[in-house]
Amino acid sequence: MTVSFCTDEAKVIIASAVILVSEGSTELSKVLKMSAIGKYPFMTLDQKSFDFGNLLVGKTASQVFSLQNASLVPTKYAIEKVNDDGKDFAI
Amino acid sequence: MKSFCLFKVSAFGGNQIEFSCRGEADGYDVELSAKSVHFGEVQAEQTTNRLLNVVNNSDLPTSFQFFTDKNNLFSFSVTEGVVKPQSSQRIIITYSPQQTGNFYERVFCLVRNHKVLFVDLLGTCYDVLTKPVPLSQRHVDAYRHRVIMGAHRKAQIQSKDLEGADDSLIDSALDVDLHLEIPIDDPNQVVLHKEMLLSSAAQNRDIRLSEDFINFNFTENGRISEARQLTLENKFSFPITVNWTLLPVVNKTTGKLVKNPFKMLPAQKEIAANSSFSFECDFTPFEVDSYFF
Repeated sequence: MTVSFCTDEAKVIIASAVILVSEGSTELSKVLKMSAIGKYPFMTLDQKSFDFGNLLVGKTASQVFSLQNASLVPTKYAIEKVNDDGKDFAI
Repeated sequence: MKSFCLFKVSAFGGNQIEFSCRGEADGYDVELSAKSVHFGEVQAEQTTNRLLNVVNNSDLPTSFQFFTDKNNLFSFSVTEGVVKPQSSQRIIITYSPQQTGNFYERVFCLVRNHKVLFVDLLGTCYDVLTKPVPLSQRHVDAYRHRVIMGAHRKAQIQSKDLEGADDSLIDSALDVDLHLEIPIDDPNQVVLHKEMLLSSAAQNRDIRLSEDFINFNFTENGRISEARQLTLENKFSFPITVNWTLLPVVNKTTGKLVKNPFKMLPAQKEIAANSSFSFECDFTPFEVDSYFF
């Protein structure tokens, strides 16, 4: 028997499942208590702006940044350009 | 040029963070070793050389190209190439005048990711009978200054009213106070581009040709093509003398110098002020299955 949990909210959920087992005229019930916590992923950046200063045309400069998942749940993420003046930056 | 970029990090089902990147691109630091090269006074049919360096002060190699023909009166040993970082490329410019007179040409140099560079080439040619007053950079600067200030056309219009007014480019330049500080050391890039790309047939040229390019199409080897007309218009208020100098070219089969396959007739002509004259241009190819330019 498999029990799965899926939530779209960050909250604590407690539920009980009653299992009825019958054998002939005898009926037996068992209660299974289940609890789970729904959590949102939360990402943080160590730096919000990057200044590359002046650079000769044709040269490449790099900077490293850390993206941290501060929540207890794993998450997938995507990085996209919102606007790009010079089309010179790439990740 | 400055660049700015805004990025967004989205965690699926979670928060969004934005971060920005900015930077500025610097062009190459390239220069010519001289802005003006004076060849001095050279006897007709003699040659003299001068050195010019393309200096690259940047940390990356850069390519350059001079807007000139190799077989010119002022001929460049190298017209295009690549200069290594923190290095320079040596170019030998040869001046080979055939007839007496003053010669001047501004040659533009394009450098990748850099503003347009230029070098002014000047030379005077003399022979036993004729020794012209040498042209100097000062005359050129003064004349250019007049053109930039708009005084040049004004003077032309005024002189139209004066009958028998004798003038010349040098006289015209000398009218300007030569002690005046002339602010053309670093001319506007737009002006430089306009001058570089100005066609020989452009309406605003003082000496204007009717055609920018004459194509003779196919011509049988050794035969003279049908003559083509080329009209030269002199808008100056003084007469000009036109000398067509077509330098010998190398025959690629024999490796010897031969007569230029193109011919202008008449080779020399004085064109009166504010008038035009039609020259005839012929083409006589000396080799089969070849292109001539």
